[in-house]
Amino acid sequence: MAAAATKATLTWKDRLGKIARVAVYILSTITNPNDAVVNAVRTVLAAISKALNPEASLAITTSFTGTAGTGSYSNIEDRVLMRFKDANGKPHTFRIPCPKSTIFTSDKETVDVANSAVIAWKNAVIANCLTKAGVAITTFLGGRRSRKKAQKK
Amino acid sequence: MASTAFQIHTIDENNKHANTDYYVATSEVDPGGTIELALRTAQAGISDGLLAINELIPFSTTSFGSSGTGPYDSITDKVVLEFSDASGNLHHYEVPAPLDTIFLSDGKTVDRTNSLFAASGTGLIDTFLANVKGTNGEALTAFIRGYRDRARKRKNP
Repeated sequence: MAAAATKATLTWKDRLGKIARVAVYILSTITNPNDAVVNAVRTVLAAISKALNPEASLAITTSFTGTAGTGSYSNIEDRVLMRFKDANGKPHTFRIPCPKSTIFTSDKETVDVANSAVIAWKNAVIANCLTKAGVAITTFLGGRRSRKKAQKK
Repeated sequence: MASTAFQIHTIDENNKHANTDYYVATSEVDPGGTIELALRTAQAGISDGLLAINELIPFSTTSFGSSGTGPYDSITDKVVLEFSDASGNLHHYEVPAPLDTIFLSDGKTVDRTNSLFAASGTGLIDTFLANVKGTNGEALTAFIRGYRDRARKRKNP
């Protein structure tokens, strides 16, 4: 289900380089951060500000319904770190929360790279994902279980 | 940007939230598109969490305005713009480092007759009413007021 409105986040930088952000909501049909509507809002806000607006981003969302599973590691503090290498040899890590217990080897810590679900996910990442710089992700190196401590209140 | 950020938001059985960050081609515009659903389906195969939201975050790096000097030139100085919708709900927008010339002589209250606000069609008020929505997509219907505000100083622990 698509959101009722799209959030546009406008980044501002003052003369000292300090950063602030302004969020506005626009029509949910707008998916281009260079759309005329986004630019019109940025133009009128930049006209009343002494800060530079160097960047804008959109948050386009689709939501899904369902129920979380109840496996052995079904807590977001339990996660699996999946390591890849890009075309330049640079490592990249993906963090997947609530890993299924069935994707690990008998030590329950190391990802079983021969597991069919792991192979399917790894193939989807290599086929579809890039690095932030736009470089292709080429090689799956392996994965291991990790636990992130809960934040103190 | 050389790629577009794509996040899958996971909710666990205790209703706690976490994100997984991916980057995809900049041509991607639909969080429910083929590639995004393929990644979601593949992640569902290795995770017990509910994959509740797909979020695409495209960026524009075109700059608007410039960093100026003078009164109120810090991001800690802000002008708060207050609009209302048809239901009477208020919507606030805090714009950093406001021009000093948009205020009345008290230095605090926005002069709504200033051409940057009042210009028909192209001023801030008309542009917001035409283009900006509430979080549920509701239209803004009126500009209520604008006033200068400063970020509160943090208390020492």
